[in-house]
Amino acid sequence: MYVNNRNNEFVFALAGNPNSGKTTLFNELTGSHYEVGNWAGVTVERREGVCKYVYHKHESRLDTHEHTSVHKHGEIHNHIRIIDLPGIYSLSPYSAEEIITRDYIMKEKPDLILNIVDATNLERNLYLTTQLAHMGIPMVVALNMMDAVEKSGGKIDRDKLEEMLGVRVVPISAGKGTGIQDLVTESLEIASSGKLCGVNVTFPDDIEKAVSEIIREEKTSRMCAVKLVEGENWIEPSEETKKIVSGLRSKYDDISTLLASRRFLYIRRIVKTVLTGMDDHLDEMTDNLDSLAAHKYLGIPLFILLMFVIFQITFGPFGTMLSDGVDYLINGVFSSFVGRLLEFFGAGEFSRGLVLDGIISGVGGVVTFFPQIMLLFLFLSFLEDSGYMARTAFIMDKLFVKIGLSGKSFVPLLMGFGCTVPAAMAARTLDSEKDRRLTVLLTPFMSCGAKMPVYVAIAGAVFAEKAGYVIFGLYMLGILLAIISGVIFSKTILKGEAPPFILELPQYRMPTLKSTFHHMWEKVKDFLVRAGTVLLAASIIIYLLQNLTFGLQVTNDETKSIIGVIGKFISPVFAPCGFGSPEAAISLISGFVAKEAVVSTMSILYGASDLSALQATLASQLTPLAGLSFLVFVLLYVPCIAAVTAIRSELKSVKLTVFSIVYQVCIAWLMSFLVYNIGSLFV
Amino acid sequence: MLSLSALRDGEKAVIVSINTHGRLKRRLLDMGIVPGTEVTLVRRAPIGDPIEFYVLGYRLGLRKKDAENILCEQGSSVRE
Repeated sequence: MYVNNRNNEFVFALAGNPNSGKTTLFNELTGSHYEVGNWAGVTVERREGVCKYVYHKHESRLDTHEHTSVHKHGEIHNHIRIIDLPGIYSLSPYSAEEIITRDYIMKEKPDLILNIVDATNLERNLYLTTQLAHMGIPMVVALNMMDAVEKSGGKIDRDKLEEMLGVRVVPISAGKGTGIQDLVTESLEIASSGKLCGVNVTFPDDIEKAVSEIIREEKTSRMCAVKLVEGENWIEPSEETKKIVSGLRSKYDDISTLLASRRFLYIRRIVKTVLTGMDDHLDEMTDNLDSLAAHKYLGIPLFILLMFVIFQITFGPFGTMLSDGVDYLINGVFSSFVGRLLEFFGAGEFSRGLVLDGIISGVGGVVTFFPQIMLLFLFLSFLEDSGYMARTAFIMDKLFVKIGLSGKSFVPLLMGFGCTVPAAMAARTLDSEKDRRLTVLLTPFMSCGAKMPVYVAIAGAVFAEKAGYVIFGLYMLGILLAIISGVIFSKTILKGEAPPFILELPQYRMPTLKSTFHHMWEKVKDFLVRAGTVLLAASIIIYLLQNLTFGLQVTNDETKSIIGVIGKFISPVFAPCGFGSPEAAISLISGFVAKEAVVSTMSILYGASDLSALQATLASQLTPLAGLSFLVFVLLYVPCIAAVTAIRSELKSVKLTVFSIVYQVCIAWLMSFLVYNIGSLFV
Repeated sequence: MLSLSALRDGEKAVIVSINTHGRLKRRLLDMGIVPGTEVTLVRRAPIGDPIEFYVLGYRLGLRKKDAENILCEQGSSVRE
């Protein structure tokens, strides 16, 4: 068969259910490594890649050998672009994912839809297939996880399946990379022939008649016409169409249910015919694990224990050791090396300071947390890929509904204890705009890892051995205020119907090391990029503010610098909270760059050489109550610039971002004020 | 007839009607919750809500208040 269309250029759109192995197939086709998640909605944005396979015709259709040599007879070079569409269950335009997929297919008109179907779950997967087949675009079904079906003794009659679906079917295993060459070859043949899928599901005669009339009237696809009949207007219907639809709707009171039932009835018939040797039973391993993970009494404690262990490893001695190592490399080895280098080239004091104290310690201070963030994401990626994450949403949902969230918000919020940046980013996986925004707005209340050094330094100074209780109390206060704010937000600025909670609990699977690492890397990469851009710029700006006067003269006197003057100017604002010194105000301002900077700025301002010297000074400067009040402020006020940029990009609204900043500052001031003044009555 | 949420753990039933509307109903239909589908209540979350069902070969978590609006008849369907 000769394969051709404009310059051998093709666009294939990859579509399928969540958890069907779609992203794995995308990676296999394009050779690129993208995020693979066992969590509905991982592919929120559209991804694109160039297919590394070319047309290669085998002797026999059943031959599934991987092709090895590149220049073999029967090979034609084609340029195929693969578009990875979000994982969806249907084409109803009720979620962002579904709308992206539908609009892409309708407007961009790819040359072919590659529909990936999980062979271990034909009944649900084929529903989307029966819809995609009638979008007016040639289609091929990639029957994934055939190896798993065969392993459990099942058999699928491919020819029969093709006949009943009216679509070409190619068995593959995306994970093992088998059958991919055949898939590409057959897809190219179908795409270049332009052959559309045959009719599969049929509806009652009067509905079929209406559908045919609408197809003629609107010159549209069968799927679009069916949706018009259901009252979902994918296109603006003509008067004639409206008449046909209303005539039909007067006869049936619930067309949607009828049509969905017909589809599933047809699919049941297909599955009954083509699938043999598989019994319809729950996967036993998943069931056993679930009876523990969702156990009536053990489920929640087990989950808390798991989280405790993860946080203990990440933020406990092990993670701290790694961070200290990086800190030593950056602030010890690297910084002194650069210092000597600058000296060698005769750099002036100001530029040396800018590079060493500004850039290296500013960016470095945050990069120090890199090992901990990597560890946290390694664990979270593992939990996500294994399928446990969906269970946490399941077991925590009831509690979250009460604050206007759904169980699915739990994971992003949990990440907030590590770092607000990935926490806000993780909210992307949520179902609705409202859920996403509410979750993002609440992430700053989860006390992030960078605030820990501030707590340790100050609580250690003013509370000595009772510091641990105080720090624990701060975390609890953050959670409590998140709950209260959640209730308030969902009743005021983020009103609206809660999206339906319909959660697929995927089978547990052992994630491969490769995919877990890739998954982790995708997230960690963002962190590094941010450190190299936003934080770099912010560090330079803060250094300049610290070392220049308003007259742009270089100064060594912090109190005369721009930041010092601002600090002195705004410090009275904090007087009612018990920490009205310019040092406190200046430290809080630099905390905007990175929360750890609160401590380092104080060290500079008080001229303390190390932590114990700083603590001695603080103990004499702050009463325990003022210290507590200061800590409450640090807990609650605006997160760092990196977090604010992440929040801004996830909220997709400048207005809400400004609101978030103002809200955090106000609540921080108010709480500190209350702590200090109510506390004063008792002390 | 009873609601899905009234099933006991491990009990099987066949869906008769879905008495919700809008987005939730569309979602349920698309996930295979249609009249005639066989459903098994697998387990309830630790606090009793949501509820996990086994349907069309996969596991689906639904909130209790949503499951209450789905009516079913106990027992297996006689598959055509």
